[in-house]
Amino acid sequence: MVTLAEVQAGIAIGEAIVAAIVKVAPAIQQGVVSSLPYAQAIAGLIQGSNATQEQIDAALASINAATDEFLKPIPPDDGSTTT
Amino acid sequence: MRKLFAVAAMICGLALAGCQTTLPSINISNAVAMNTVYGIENAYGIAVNAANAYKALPLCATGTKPSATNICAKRSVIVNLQSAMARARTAVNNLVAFQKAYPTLDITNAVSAAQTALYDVQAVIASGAQ
Repeated sequence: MVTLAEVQAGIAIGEAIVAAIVKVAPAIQQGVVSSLPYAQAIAGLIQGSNATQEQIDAALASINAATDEFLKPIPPDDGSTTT
Repeated sequence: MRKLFAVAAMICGLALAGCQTTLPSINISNAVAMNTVYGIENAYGIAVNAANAYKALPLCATGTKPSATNICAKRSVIVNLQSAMARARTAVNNLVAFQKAYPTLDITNAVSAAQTALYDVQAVIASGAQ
């Protein structure tokens, strides 16, 4: 089982990210909601459940798909959004 | 009677020996590795969801900063975040691949690489709050 310290470190990363995002833009609740399954999975580990290879593979497919979406280029800058 | 007892004892002994070879075994180190990998995957999942939510915001107009009254994403932060997220994805995929290929080996180095990459993502996102 993963140690509590390791889980807490993972949660700390997630919390810090969410906190930073909310500080930047309070209107991103959708992102927080869609993160719920990941938070629940971490909570399950804390409660003592063991991960299966199927869960690991499914999570990898999910995060890779979400990353593909994120890595799509943003619209080219026409000078109005150079910040 | 003695022969019968000896045969019974031998059968019981063989049965016990058979039990010893068929007892279920749990690979503890493998379970630890899988839980660690799964925990990191889910931390990464939270990060990439937050990143996608940030990217979905309207881009900040040139010369402006995000605030409670100007909800927007900085182009520069998105670009930096894409770079950091790409590195993090590679690290997490490497971690999973290593854990699957070598389920009984120590995954510490692969875990450290993934954690470092996630901290980089966190740092870039935090920079968006500046």
